[in-house]
Parts: sequence; structure tokens; C-alpha cells
Amino acid sequence: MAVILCPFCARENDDEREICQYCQARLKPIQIDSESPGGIPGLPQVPAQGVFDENESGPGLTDRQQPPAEIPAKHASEPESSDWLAGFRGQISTQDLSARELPIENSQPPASKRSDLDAQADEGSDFLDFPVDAGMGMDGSTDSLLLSRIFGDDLPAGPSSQAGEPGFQDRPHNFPIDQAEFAGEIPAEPAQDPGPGKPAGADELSWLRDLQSQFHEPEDLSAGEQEEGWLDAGQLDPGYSTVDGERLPDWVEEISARPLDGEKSSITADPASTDLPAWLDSIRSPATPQNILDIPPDFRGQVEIAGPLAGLQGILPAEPEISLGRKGAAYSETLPVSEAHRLQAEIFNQVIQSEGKNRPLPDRYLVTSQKIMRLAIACIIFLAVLVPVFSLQYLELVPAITPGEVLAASQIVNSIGNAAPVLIAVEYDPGFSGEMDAALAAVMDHLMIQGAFLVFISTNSSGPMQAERILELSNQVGTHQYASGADGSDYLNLGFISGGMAGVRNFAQNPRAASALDLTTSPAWDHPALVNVAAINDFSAIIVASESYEKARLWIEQVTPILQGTPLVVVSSAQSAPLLRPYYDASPQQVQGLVSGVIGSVHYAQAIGRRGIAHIYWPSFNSGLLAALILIVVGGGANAMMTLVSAQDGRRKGGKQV
Amino acid sequence: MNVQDLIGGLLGLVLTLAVFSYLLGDNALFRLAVHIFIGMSAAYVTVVVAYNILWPRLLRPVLQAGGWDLVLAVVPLILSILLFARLVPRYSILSSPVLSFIVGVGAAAAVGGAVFGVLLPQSSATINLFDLQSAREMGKDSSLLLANSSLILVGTLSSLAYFHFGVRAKPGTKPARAAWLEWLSQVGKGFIVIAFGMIFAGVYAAALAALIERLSSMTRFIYSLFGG
Repeated sequence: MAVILCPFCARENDDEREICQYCQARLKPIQIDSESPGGIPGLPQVPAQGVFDENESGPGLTDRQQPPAEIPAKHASEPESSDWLAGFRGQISTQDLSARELPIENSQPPASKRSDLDAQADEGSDFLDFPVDAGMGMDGSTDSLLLSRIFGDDLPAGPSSQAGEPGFQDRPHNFPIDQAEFAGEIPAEPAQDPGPGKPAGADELSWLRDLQSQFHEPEDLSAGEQEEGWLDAGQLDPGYSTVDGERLPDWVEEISARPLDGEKSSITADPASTDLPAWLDSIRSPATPQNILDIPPDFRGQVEIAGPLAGLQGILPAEPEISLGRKGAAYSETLPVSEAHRLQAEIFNQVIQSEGKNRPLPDRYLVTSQKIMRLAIACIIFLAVLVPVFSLQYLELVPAITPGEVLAASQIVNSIGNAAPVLIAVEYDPGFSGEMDAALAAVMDHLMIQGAFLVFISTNSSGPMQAERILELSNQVGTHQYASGADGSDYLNLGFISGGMAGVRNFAQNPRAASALDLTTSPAWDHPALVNVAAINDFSAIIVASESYEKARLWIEQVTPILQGTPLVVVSSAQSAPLLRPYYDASPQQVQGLVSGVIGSVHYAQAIGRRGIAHIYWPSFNSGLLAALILIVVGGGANAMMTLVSAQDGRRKGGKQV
Repeated sequence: MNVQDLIGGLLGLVLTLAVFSYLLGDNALFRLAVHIFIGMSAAYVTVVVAYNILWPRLLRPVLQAGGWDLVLAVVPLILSILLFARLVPRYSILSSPVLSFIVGVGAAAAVGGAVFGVLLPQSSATINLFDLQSAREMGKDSSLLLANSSLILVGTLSSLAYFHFGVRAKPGTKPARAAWLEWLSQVGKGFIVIAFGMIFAGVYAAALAALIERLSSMTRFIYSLFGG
């Protein structure tokens, strides 16, 4: 059995089939019987040779080459072709229409535009070549146009062409000339009423004849005069309407007249509702562009009215949907919140509202483990400090070896002669006086023994008061009684110098100008012991007493670059001693002596063979340190045991190891 | 015991016990004692500054000086008054030159002191630790000095390495320090831990000394009060 290859899907079909069983494409060309009422005279039936099997001869053409004497006006528009071809026809016509940049709304160009088009036609522009050569099929029909697009140059020419007989003009038209396709080219003259006794088509074709003369078939034009009746207005398909001399197909008018948001089109935009071939429907993905883009249903029936796709239906929107002129959607004033959001907002609201309310304090437990622990440690330390009351004599033993920095400090003070001026910077707060008084008292005692003239100064506002206090304490330690007065005073309190670091620098560079008055606002430098003191290097020694590393460093930074041989001794708290030690260990030394805390004071007093305040503290200090040591060891051991026990429990229960 | 010593001793005893009451938790006595200390400190500072600075160095020269001395004395006064312009935002710009002068002088003193008082001397000292020839001339044991100097050098470098957190990032790998730098930083961590232990011991010793001083003062007062 012979088979026919489908021109679209290239599959084999039974030769009896007119439509491809796979793609529903037409396998056989439309056979328009010239004898039938629907036939169009002069229509050359195109033998689609490429379509048919070699065994099958194409339909005879010779019998169909004879055009009928007259064309029933309505036959051309009757759908003898199938629906799919009609659909193609409509698309092609619409595309061609839009290709000529003639929107449907403007399918009735004004007279001025028509005149422009006429002028273009007169100039023989290429614009007008298209409808004749490419816009139409070889036989001038839309079906032939379709076939020519399908087969290209393989499509055989019509018999008239082959015979060299009427070409363009003498080709009868089985399909009305697409007015839209020629809307841009057809001038208004054909729509004018012809003169009496003159066929209407004669004047209408005069312009066309002019155009034809510019083309390559002048002989056809003359020969076509006898056939020009096929273009008679009276023979034109009544399916065309004439508006202002322009004739538009009904389907174009329908599209133009159809509202945008309107009605159901005859062409279904929804692919789901389209009568698709089975094979296409089977492979069609459910995720259609409409589904993906969520095109509204009312948009699917919309017909494109502008652009190259004008007239087609179901076109995907080229612009965002928001740009389309539509009625705005009505949104609810209530925000769509989820349950979780609602709960969170409720919690947030409660938090905000609770901010302005007084909430009762949580119950305070009088006894907590932390409080018990704190009290226990405090009791142990208190007891340790008070133990010396019970005269544990062995705690009063003092170390026999004196540290080098303490020994150096004692040697420096030991070298100070009688009435030699010594500058003492008292830079500690009252809160540290317990330790600093004990540390400084030993040095002060030694200085008093040496008979040095003491000059106190401080960058701390409480420094002058602390200086007076340490002097009083030192007087209690020894037999010396330093006093301040106009006559025979033994010390000078310069008071407070402002400016911090800059003030110290200023004082180091020019002591007399920086602090001209003493604490009693009397002239400070009139004392006989200070007559020769004009710079800081004129002091026999400089002693800085500070509990803070920063304050001690301030003096070291600002003074040591200026000092030339004048020793600098630091009396510090035990907490800052480790940080000040490098200044003593440096080579060359920036600090020549260092006495720190109670321990340093005891060492210092031991070095000079005295007993100072530090010796009073020493038993309690030792027992306190011992208590702290025991607490650290016991606490650390207990903590380690708890950790081990919890780790074993974790392993035993299979839980997470600590 | 005179009245002055009695009042002072009683105040000291009561305020000390009030501060110790913090062992039982935050309470009104402790807060009262803290407020008293803060108020007294502020008042004392004000008195000291007014009595030691403002009057003798600022106001009295203006009142007593004459001629060029008066002009020189007025300048600090004007600059001090301009500082009050800071209270009025509209005229606060008038205080900017004065503040700029103060900040500039302070910064210059700080930078100069840090560089010439600490940085250069300490760097030089670390280098000079290996001056064995000088050590021999001073009669010191050079081998012991060398060991000590090496220990100090290692401690210094490793402590500095511990605070070096810069790494070169490589794509696809976790940023990490070089192995030798990591090892050195671990050594430095040991030195730092020892230093922190010393500082903690010093803090405890200072606090213990303060406690001993307070308990000693209290016991002396009580003894003098009841034992004569």
C-alpha cells in the first residue's frame, strides 16, 4: 500500500488519508473543483509533488486549468479548506498585515496616508514588491502562499506560469485578496464609484496597472485587461466590507471590534481547550506558559491588537501584567498573616505593654549556694586574718633574703645626705592606703632617719592628703618627728598639680614654675633646702608611690628621659609590681629601686633593721595568704573531682561526656 | 581619746561594717556607705582644685598682677571661660581651640613619653641583655646571664606571637596561623598565664593588706574604747 510522507512530521501515512494521523497536517492539497460552485475560475491547482508518493500521480492539472466563466462571489470565503489551514491563513494574513506596520485600528488609513502610499507606489519602492512576489503564493492565493512557504522553491509553478500565460494578472483568485495585506498599498481610487458604463474594476485597477508596468510583466498587464473582471468590485467577496474605500475582511473587523477584556474568541487562546492533535496533546507539558505565568483567564481570550502578532489570540503578554489597563484588584485591608506571625506579634505586643508596668521582683532567697559559698570564704579569710590574735609566733618569721630591688632602694636612700631634697610623688587613692601606707612607711622612716628634706607632690587630688597621712604614720613609727612650718620645716607639700601627663612633664622640666606654691598657697621654693633646686635633677632622689601601674608608668615615661643620674625608686602595690619589674630589670635601668606591697616593706625594714607598719600586718598577711592557698587547692581539687564524677556518670548513662 | 578621735573612729567602724555587709548581699547600708564615699570624694576634689588651682593660679594673679603680668594672667582666664561655651551648643565652637590645645599637648606628651620613656628604652634593654662582655666586666656569671636573657627573649617574643592573629587566607582552607607561629604562641600563652597569676596574687595581696589594715584599725579602736 502506498504511503504518504507527512510534510510536517515526515511520518508515513496511509495514502487515503488527507490529514496526517500524527500531526493532523494536511497531506493532500486542497482540491478546488473549478466546476463546482465553490470553485474559483482560473485557479491553478498546485500539484504538491513533493508531498505525494512517487507511485501516486498528482492530481491532474490540465482539467482544472480552465477557469470558470464566473466566480460566485461568496465561494471564495467559504471554508473549503480545513480549519487548521484556515487558522494558518488567518495567522499569515495577520502577520503580513502587521509586517506592513498597519495596525488593525489603522486599517483604514486617512487620505493623507493613502496619498503617501500612492506616492510610494509611484516611486516604485520595494515596499510594493512584497505583496506580489512574496506576500502571495505563486498563484496568488493564500493556500498557495502557504504551500510556497512550506515548500519554498520546490513548489511547482502554476500552469499558467509554466505556459507563459497570464502571470500575475490573469491568475484567478480563489481566495479574496487580503485587503489587510494590501491595505497599505491599495489606494482609495478603487473604492470610488466608477463612471457610468464603465466597469468598476477598470478604474480600480488603473493604479494597479501602473504598478504592474513597473514590474517585470508589462505584457501581462495588457493581457490582463480582458481578465480584469475578476477584480471587479462587484465580484469581490461580499465578506469584505468597505469603509472609506478600504475593504477589510470580516475577521479583521471582528478582531478590531472585539473588546479587549471581552468575549470569547472564535480562536481559543487556551491551549487546553484547543482542539490539538493527539500527538501534540500527548507531548504537551502541563506546565503551559499560561500556567507558569499565571495568566488570568480573562486574558487568555484576549486578542492581540498591535504589533506583529496582531489578530492572534492567546498571546503571552510581552509586558508585565501590571502595565495593562485593568481594574485594580481589590485587596483586603487585613494583612494575611500566618499563625506563627500572629503569635509572634502577640508576644511582641505583650512585651511592649509589659514595659510600662511595674513587675514584682522575683523572690529573693535568703540562703543560696552562692551566698553560702561567699560567706564561707569570707569567714575563712576573716579567721585567717584574726589568727595572729592567738599569737601564732611562727607566722612572724620574716624572710632572711632581701630581694635585689628592695636592697637597691634601701641603698639609694641610705646614700641620701642630711637635708638633701627628695621628691616624693604620692599617687595612690585612699582605698589602697592600707597597703601603700605600709609599703611607703618603711621608706619614709628611712628617709627621716637620713634627715632628708621631703617634698611631696601629686597628680591625684587626694595625694596631698595621703602625703600628710603617711607622714603622720611615719612619725609614729620612729623617734623622728617631721613637721612643716615656716621655721625649720622638714618637708614641703606642693599639693596637687593639674594636667595629668602634661602636668608631670611640665613639672619635670621646670619644677619652680610648675608648682610655685605649696599646699598652704605659700611660696614653695624659699626654703633653704630648695635654694639649689632649679630642675628635677637637683633632687637627691625621686620616689614614686603608686598603687596603679599606669600612674607609675606616667612618671617613668615623663621623668626618666630627663633624669641624669638622679635615682628613681618606685613604691608600688603588690598588684602592679610584676608590670613594673621590667623597668628595674632593664639595662640601663629606668627604675633603680622597687618596693612593692607589704612584703617589700617588710623586706625593706628588715634591710635597714627597723620594724614598721608592715611588721604589724605581717602575721595576718601570712595567714591570709596561707588561707587563700588552701582555698585554691581545696576548691580546685573539689572542682576536679566533680568534673570527674559527672564525666563518669555521663559515660555510665551513655550520655554526653563532659 | 579626744572627741575628734572618737567620732572619727566610730565613723570608720560603722562605715567599715556597712561595706562588709555586702557579704550578705546588696543592701541599704552598703549603698549608703558608697554614696557617702562618692560624695566626700567629689567634695574633696572640688575643694582641692579650688583651693590649690583656681584661686592661687588663676584668680589671684588676675587680681594682684599688673601690667604685662596681668595680660599674661588674663589669657588663662579667658581660655578657661571659653571652655564653658561647651555648655551652649550654639557657642560650643568657641571652646574648640582650647580643647584642641589641651588634646594636642596631652597627645604630644603621651606619644613622646611612650616612645622615649618606654618603647626605646625597653627595646634597648632587651637587646642589651645579651651584652655578655659588660656582664663579665661587672663580674656576673655570663652563662647564667645568658640563660636568663634567653628566657626573657623567648618570653617576650612568644608573648608577642600570641597576640599575632593575622593569617593569610587561602581559598578553600580554614584560616590558620603557621605551625611554627602557633607553637610559639602556645609558649607565649604559658608566659602570659604566669604573668596573670602573678598579677592575681598581687591583687589578692593588696586586698588582703587593705582588709588587715581595716581589721587592725577596728580592733585598735575597740581596744582603746573599752580597754582604755
